Amino acid sequence: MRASLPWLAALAASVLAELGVPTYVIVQHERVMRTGETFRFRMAPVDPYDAFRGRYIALRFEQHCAPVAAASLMTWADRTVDVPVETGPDGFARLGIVDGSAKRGQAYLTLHSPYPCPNADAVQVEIPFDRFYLEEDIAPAAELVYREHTGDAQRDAYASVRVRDGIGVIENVYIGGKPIADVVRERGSKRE
Amino acid sequence: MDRAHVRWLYSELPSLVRSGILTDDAAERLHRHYGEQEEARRKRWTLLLFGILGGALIGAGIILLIAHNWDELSRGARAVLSFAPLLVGQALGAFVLLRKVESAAWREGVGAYWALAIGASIALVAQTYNLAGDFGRFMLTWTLLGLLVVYLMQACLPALLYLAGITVWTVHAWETRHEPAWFWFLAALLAPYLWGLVRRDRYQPRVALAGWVLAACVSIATGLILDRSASGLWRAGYGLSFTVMYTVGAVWFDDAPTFWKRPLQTAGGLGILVVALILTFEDFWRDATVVSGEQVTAAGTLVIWLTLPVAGLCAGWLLMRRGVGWQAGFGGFAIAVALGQLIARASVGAAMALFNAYLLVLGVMTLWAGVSRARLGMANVGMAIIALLIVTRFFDSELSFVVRGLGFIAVGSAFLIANVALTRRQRTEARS
Repeated sequence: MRASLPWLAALAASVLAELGVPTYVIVQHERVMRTGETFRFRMAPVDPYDAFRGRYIALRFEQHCAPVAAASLMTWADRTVDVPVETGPDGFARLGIVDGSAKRGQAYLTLHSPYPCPNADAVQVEIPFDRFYLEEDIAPAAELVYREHTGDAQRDAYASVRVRDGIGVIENVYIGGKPIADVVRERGSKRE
Repeated sequence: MDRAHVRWLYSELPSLVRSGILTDDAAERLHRHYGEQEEARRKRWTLLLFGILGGALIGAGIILLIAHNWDELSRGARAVLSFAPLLVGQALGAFVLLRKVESAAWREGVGAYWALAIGASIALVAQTYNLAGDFGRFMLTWTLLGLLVVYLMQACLPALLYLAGITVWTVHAWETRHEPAWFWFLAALLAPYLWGLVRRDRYQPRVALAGWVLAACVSIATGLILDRSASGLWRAGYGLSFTVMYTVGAVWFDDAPTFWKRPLQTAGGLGILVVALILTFEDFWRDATVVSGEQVTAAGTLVIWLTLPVAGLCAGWLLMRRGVGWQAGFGGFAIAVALGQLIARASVGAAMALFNAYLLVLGVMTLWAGVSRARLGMANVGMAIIALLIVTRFFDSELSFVVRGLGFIAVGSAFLIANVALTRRQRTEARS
């Protein structure tokens, strides 16, 4: 019989580890969702290759460079940085100046920065929340809507993102002020 | 007892009865004994197969249901849902451990489901919070948690899923320019389980299955790990891994009745043939003289290239000691690779010639071993090696169609004659 004490202990340990991973992620992100500061990030058109994903829409943000003091650019490569997030005069989020550590009480995102941006005293940052999951039957239509509203003619897509302790969680993606899922459904019902 | 052995025993029974060594009754009893065993074995296998299939299908089905991404569900409901498949898996796992630990079908089926449920639960949480996350980290978390299932359930299918998972992780690490060499560490974590399987019965189907998957994963990972290192190191990597694979297979699994139960030897041998064959082309030597890519330190490179001849000599010695000296040619592949690298710096043509000669010697040795042992299969493998070499050279070179045509006819005739001769010899030996 193998169900001796060590085996039960191993079972308990693996049960705890398996439950621990999702629990940790849920707690961490729920905290951001409930108490994080809300920012609206302007969206940019996506690379069509990335867009073809099916169940979620791939997002791209207008801003992907964060300003930084020119002197520190010399040896810049492959770093993790705390980037302050501020609300600009237009009501949308913008990335603040990277200067070492974020100040207390200031909203910031911990982002990976692979290399300096060309022709500017700024560094490239990778925004990690770059996908928004939708039900599989509306995701392809949402992808189309997203593309229309991030093009040159019309640019009124934004994501509302909660930010806290370096983590950002997408609440919703809006097209002209309406949640993208509602826009897709309205179009669908108009057609019928 | 293996099925092939049972079949052999059945074929022997009539002559044993004729010559008075066994009574009719005893032969009948032997027949019944193994016959029944066969029957029970088949039943056990059917059960096992359906257990695995059921567990894996349900696990995959749950992943697909989750992938639909139900819009109506609140975050709270999703949180509960993401734990549900996992909790079911854990409850089943506990049940198996307490009540059904002797049943392989239960362990395999529940193990497969449980391992998949871990991934489903992490994926659902990621979907709820729109985490693009890091695919590499997701795979790593999933596979490492799944490894616990392998050991708890002592089940083979979760182990195969683990191997596949760490290979997918390695591919991702390679794509994103992280460190794919961690593959070796992750693979080593499975070693105690595999060792346990081998120790219990190295000819059980589980070992063969794990061997095939392991051979495939190691071959993929070797290429990826060495891709970014000093140029030409891929030759050293494959030279080493295929030689080790072949030798381990040939030395420790040489009683295996069928070729599918000799995964390491078969995969290693095929790998050696393929790599040796491509090393007869100039393109694959170009990087021998040009230095590019991220460099390994000079000392590191030296260690790697010195390992090859040592491994080759060890392989040759082990094979000779097992009385399969004719296979030493396969073990010597590592030496040939090291030698090739050395002379390629002076002349690429000479290195290509070396591998032409190597394949020829390998083919002739295998053919000779097959003929002298009257083993048709082995002789054919030897001839196939020679034929492959000749065919490749014919397409490669600028000989006229007439010469090529005559060459093909000569090789084809040699095949036929050798086969007829060997079959006749086998028949006369069987009669005598």
